[in-house]
Amino acid sequence: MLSRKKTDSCTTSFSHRKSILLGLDSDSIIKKFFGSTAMVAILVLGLITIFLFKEGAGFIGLYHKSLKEYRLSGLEYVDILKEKREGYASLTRYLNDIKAEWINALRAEGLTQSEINKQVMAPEAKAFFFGYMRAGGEIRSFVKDKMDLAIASRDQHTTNENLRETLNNYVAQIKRLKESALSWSEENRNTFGLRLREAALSGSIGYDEGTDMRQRAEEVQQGAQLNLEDKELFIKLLEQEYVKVERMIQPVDFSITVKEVVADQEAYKNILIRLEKKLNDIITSSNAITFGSQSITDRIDRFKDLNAIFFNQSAIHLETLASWNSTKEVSVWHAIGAFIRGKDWITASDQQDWYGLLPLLSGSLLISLIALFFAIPFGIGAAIYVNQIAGSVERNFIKPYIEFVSAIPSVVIGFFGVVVFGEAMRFLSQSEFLHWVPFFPLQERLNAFTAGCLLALMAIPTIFTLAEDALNNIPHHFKEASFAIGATPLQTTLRVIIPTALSGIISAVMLGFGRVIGETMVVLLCAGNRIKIPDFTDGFGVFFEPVHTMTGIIAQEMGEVVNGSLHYRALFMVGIVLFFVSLLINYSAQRVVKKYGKLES
Amino acid sequence: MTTKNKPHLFSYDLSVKRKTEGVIKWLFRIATYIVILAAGYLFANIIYNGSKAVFNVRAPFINIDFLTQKPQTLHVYEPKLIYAELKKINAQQVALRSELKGLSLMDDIGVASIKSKLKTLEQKYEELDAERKEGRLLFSDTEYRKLDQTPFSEEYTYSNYAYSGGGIGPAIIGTCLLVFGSIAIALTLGILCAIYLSEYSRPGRVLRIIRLSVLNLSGVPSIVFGLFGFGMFVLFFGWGVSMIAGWFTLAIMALPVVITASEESMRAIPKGFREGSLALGASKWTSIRTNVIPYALPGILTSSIMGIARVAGETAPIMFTAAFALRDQLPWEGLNEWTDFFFQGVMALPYHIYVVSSKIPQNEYTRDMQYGAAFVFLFIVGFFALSSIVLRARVRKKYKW
Repeated sequence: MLSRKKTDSCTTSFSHRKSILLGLDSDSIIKKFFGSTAMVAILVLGLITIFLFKEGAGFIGLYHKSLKEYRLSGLEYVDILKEKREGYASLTRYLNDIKAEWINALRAEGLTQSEINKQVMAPEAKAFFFGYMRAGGEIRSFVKDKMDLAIASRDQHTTNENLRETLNNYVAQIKRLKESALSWSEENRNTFGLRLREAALSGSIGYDEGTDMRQRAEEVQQGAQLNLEDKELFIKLLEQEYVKVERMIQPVDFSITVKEVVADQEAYKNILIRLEKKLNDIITSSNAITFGSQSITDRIDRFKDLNAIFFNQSAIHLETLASWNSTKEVSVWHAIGAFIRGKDWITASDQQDWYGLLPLLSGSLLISLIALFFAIPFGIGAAIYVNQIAGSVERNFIKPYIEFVSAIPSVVIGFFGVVVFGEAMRFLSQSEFLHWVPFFPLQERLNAFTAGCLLALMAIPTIFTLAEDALNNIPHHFKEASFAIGATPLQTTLRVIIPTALSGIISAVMLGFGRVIGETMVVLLCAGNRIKIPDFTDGFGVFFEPVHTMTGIIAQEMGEVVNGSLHYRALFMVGIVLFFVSLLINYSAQRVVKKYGKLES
Repeated sequence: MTTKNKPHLFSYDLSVKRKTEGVIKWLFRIATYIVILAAGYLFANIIYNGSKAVFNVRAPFINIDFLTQKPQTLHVYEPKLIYAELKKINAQQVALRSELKGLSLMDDIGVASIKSKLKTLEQKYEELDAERKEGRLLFSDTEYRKLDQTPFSEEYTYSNYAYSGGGIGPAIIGTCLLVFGSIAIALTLGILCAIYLSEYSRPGRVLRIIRLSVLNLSGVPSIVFGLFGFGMFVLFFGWGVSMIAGWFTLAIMALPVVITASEESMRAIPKGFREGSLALGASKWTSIRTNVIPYALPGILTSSIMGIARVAGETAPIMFTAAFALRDQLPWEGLNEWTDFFFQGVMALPYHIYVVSSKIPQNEYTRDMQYGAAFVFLFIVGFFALSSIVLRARVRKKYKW
């Protein structure tokens, strides 16, 4: 070893370096080697971007196409029709609600069941409640007919496209067979065997010299030598198949089918007028009923107002229908906008699939908000305590302990949330002494709050460690100077130490946010997984709604989708959004430290 | 009086301020201890309930079957009569409780009588429950298939629970394989990269970009790594859901941890070490090999253990790249060629925990499997994390220059 070193040094000092490879000596080869491995980080980041985009980029095109079909086939028109029907349906639900309240009120008065029935099922009441529900039969069936028409044409169109693709495959296969020599791939052999057997069963065409097709099929599949005649027959069979498939295509002209969907607007108008008249009659007849309590009468009045609004909107509704045009251009921007601003995430529906980011994004943000609400005070508080207040014994215990907490696997925390924390939340919400809380008892034990609290437990170590580092990096003399002018320890901490470390603390919080928004298992297990934009009009109750998140939806649905489908690409799009959100958070955290973190020491 | 309160001219009454300071200090202390207690409760809960599944009262004290067997469906036969009786008592209890709610608080006698009734019912319930536990029959899949005849349906009610019988052997093995493979790849790439960054690189644009990407890589959510691994290794390279796809996905995830920590430990070595070696005429690589790496090794190992803890604890990246919910064979069983070993999916503990906590109901029969798996997993990950924390503290003490 020692002697080699000597010779090494001799060559370096006295002789010209020998070139080993491409004019490089050994040291620079080593350097290049290490340099190339260092590129791995850049390479990986680049590859992640490339592969996310490779799988996700097709989404815009496919979604654009899907939305175009949605408009061309008239499904969009039907959805406008459905709005009216939905409005009527929700009015019916409202009425049923009133009825239930009425029955409860009667029960509270101490009436027996038969007495209640006597009141609720009295002829005029019955006519009111049931009559209202039944009046909508016409509009329901009208909308359903139109919907069936639109769906049928759209589905036929999709089937045709699939069939055309099959035809293209056949053409390509035949072409390949004709060009190629007599080499049979395993796949071709299998297909040929199957086709032979089918042809033998149907008995359409076969070999010229009376070779038994069924027997031949067996031979083919067992690996018999295949000759020219076989090839010709294979081509013939494929062509036959081609014709069969071609016949299955029933061309759909959207411009014709959509006319059928859009037709009957006059009839629809009449239906609406009839409905209005019927409902108005029923409502006026309700004046004969005595509801007893004031609150129910109030709700009936409110119901009447809602009805009036419902009918007032009919004119606008009809106008939108009349002005709707199936040939109106659907731009690519529309598809992008429908993804970014879309309020629904509906997959595998028989009408139209929607891929909107908003329910997922809002769910992710809501959970992060809850998590940070708990994690920021606890994380930073603990960091200040450990760094400024605690004694060395406490410090040597708490620091490793919280570091250890950061190593708890997220799936274990999620499991804990499902079996312990969620149950505890439900138990608490059902207990007597918390009944004054407006949204208790909880509908769901797994909700945004459950997930947020557990995520806080994951974010606290991140925030704690980074914030503690930032506090630790402040030079001693800051503190000493502050003491020297007579500040108390707390004043020093709050007015000198924290402002100096503020940039570090902010970046700690941002990185904690990054960790929370990217966390998967806890939200998948504990957030309730309901795909809906949280109802922010609900006050504090919004924090206790089940939500779905960007990370959760990828983890939940990725395993079940067809590769290359629109749904699959939509999930990759969500991944792209997540990727860039996390990059943004990370980058800005670094900027904060860089820009404001210069200590004048 | 005044002289007592004001010891000298310029001081003023500090007592109120002192008090507020004390209160605020206590607030910080309470915040810290709430965090500690919350995490502590989580540990205690999982360790307490999990130890029931993992440990035994009889020698050898560890439930070997649970740690080695494959997961199986649990077949449960409960005595029908007792079951019906229990249900009846339950209904009575519910009725009594609702009656208790209906009573006014003034009615002392009524309340007392109902409470005493409830108490007797509770006792009866517990006795019957113990009887039920003695009388019930539990079978795992293999035992169930071996049965000559199933217990009479007149006497027993039957129910079954997927994954709840047997053990978690394949999941433990799968996790170990995934962790060791991925950490080997991550260490090789990470240490080479760190050597370049700390020894060879000169400040400049390239270095800045490399650092930036390492930093950003560490912030990418794990599910995005999973998506990337799925897109690249599983689909593009055509490896399918396989161990090797999981290795690379996890390795890439662990890279930033390994790179940053290894580089840090190499930078901590004083310049004099390298300069001394260079002055004696050693080439750059020789001086790195003999005078930098040996001293940085403890630090690098610590960092790699940190990486292991991170890799072992993740579920999202392996969900669609490497993990199967259930696989009957162990990784070395039923291989046609030796390369098949790398291209097979495996069971993994984190994914198994996800499956058993989300896909099967929670009751006394599934509880053991759920808590047991969580406990074993927490133990494995905790072991790596703890040893890295302890090692790091030691390394810091040992090397000081």
